[in-house]
Amino acid sequence: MLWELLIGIAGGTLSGISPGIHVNTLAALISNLGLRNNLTLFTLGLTHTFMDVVPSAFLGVPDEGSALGVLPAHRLVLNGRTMEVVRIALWASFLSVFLAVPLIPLYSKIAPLYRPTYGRIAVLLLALLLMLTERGVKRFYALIVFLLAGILGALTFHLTLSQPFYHLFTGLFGVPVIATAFLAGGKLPEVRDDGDIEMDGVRFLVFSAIGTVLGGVASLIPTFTASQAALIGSFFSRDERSFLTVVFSVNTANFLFSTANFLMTGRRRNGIVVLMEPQSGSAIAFYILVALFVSMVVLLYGEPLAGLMLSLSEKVNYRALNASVLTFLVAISWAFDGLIGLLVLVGASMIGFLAQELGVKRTNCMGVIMIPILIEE
Amino acid sequence: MMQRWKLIILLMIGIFLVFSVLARIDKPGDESFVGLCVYSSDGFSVMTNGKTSLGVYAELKLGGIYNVTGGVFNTSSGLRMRPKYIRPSLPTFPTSDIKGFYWPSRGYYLLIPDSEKRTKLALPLNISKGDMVNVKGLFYRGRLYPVAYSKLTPPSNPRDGMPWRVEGVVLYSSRKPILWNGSDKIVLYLPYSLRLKPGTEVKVLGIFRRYSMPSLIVDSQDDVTVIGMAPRVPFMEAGIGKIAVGACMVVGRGKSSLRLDCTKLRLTGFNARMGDTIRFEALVRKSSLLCLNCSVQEGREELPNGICNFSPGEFVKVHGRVEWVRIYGNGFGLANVTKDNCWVLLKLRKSLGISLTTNEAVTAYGTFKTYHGMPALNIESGDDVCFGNC
Repeated sequence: MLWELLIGIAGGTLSGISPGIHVNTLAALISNLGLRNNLTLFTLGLTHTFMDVVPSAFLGVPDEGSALGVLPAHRLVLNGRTMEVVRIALWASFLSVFLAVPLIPLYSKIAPLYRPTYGRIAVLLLALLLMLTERGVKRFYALIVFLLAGILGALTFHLTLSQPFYHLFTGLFGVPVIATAFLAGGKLPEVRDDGDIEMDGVRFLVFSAIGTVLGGVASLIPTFTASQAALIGSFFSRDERSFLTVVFSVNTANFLFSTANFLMTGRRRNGIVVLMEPQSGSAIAFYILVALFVSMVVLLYGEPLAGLMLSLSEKVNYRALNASVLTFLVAISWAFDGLIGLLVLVGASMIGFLAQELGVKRTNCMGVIMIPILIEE
Repeated sequence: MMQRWKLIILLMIGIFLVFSVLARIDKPGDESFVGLCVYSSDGFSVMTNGKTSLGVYAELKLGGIYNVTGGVFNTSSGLRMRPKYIRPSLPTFPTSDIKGFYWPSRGYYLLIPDSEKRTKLALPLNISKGDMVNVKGLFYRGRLYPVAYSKLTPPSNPRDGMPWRVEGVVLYSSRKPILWNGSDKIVLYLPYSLRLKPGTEVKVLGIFRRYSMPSLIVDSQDDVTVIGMAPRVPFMEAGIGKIAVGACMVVGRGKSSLRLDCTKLRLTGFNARMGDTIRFEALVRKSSLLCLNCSVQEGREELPNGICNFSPGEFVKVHGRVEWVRIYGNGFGLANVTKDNCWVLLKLRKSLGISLTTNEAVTAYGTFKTYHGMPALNIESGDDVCFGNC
């Protein structure tokens, strides 16, 4: 059992800290190597949700769960608060594991009640909320970005790509940030913090609890992703720190509740549980214990590892680093789906840039999955 | 400012160019796939033909065989298809043939005869638990998905480790009750808290094991069906596993059993005095009778005085007056009891704890014997002697 745990933690750490390596891809790879077992997959997915702060904060490379955290995290990084971002991510994830445990009994009552219609209604309300939170003419700009992202999503999902989400999310949320940093030149902002979270403890706990609950909601509704849950969370938060707390708690709680949902109802809400073998609902107690153990282990080494990554990245030229990451992301896009994958990446990147230039929240790019959900047959 | 709007216009043009190219991309040609649905939930199913697995964006019936047509594409989780057509189909893929006993118990299994192996079934079969069956199906992730199955004639004799159905009467009720099936005793290993009363006729399904006695390991209360009580028959005709009905006199008492004058089998589970005539409904076991419903039909007080009808070996009631009493050095005593012109010697073992005195009226119950050629009454217990007329 320890062996499976270690493989999972190592795999989750690798996919977490590597820009562009999606956890589902690594999980599928591990499964194909004959290491498929529920414990490894669960540990891998959970560890990833702790560690994916590293590329999204340092380089601005998001995955589906952390896409909305990229910009606020970057703002803190630019102010030299890099280690604080890491610590927020680790502790928010850690807290969400603990906060999710007492919610599991209630969740087990609610999960079987879900009907697909509820998901669409939730997405529609969310889309409206997204527009209405912009001011003046920006509402119109936001609508344009939302619709363009939605059209791109609809066109992309109609194709038979192996990793459509990779091209879309990397393009919408990652490439514009890295490319802007590359064009601006300069160097990686100097780290001036000791990692202390400049946020009241109670406030941190409250926002983590909000994130945990939203993560649970996201796991109930298949059309409702962790990013969308984080988007709702952004309406509660007024600053970067509270927003990041919500985002990272959503991300971890979403994974944990998705596993619980799978064990209780057999529904597969993320790419990791798709690879898992069905088990009895009573196994949830075991996975809760594993989650508590893994979260404590990751908390022990997560921050030093991020520090190490940071000190390594400081030794290389920041512009060269951004260029190489951009090249790497493009290469992966090519490797996944060839020219069509690249085309989607380019289109998504342009929409990401557009949002940036029009001065609207990049969350409007979430239309990329919301519109296909609303219009799909 | 102008620069920014130029960039925005350029981006818009670029985006529309990408859209127009994406919209014109030829979709891959349609392919057909015949397979068995091994997973289905919320608009997504997984099909397999034994060699290839395909994720299909449609909700199919688990265990159904379909021919799906649509564009196939590769993902990190395997092949996927958005089907245009879905039609039920016959299997065109090779299947495995497995013969075994159907055993649903915390999952669905086929118990394979002559081996300790069991095959896990992904779906239940519409047959009774324990039936022998031949299943054609596909293995997927270690479980057999049945495609077709046919019932087979069960073997006449039980096989070790395989299911066996047995019908019989419960002879002993304990943690491991013993069942009589008409020819053999079978030990039942029942689920916790399930108790069977002796005399109950039951049908039991379990896993047969040849321990020191033939045994049946029952894994569910549902596998035990109570038919009723064993048939009631006159005691002369009753064999093992039947309920013997009759009325007999108690002629002997052991620690937990009674000896009756009508059968060699001792009656357990009921208490009566020597000489009482009891009516009994008792389960016949190999060497005893277990009282299920017994009552005293006639008390021993109603017996006639047998003092004048000496017949060795016969159980009688003797009533009379004590003529003389003699106690020997070892504690053994004799009392001569007379009535009219008849007399008999009461043999008074020391262990009876009885002391009689001359001219005392006494009633005793026992079996006639001779003592040095003289008529005597053998008394088994102190309770069988009373003073006065009783």
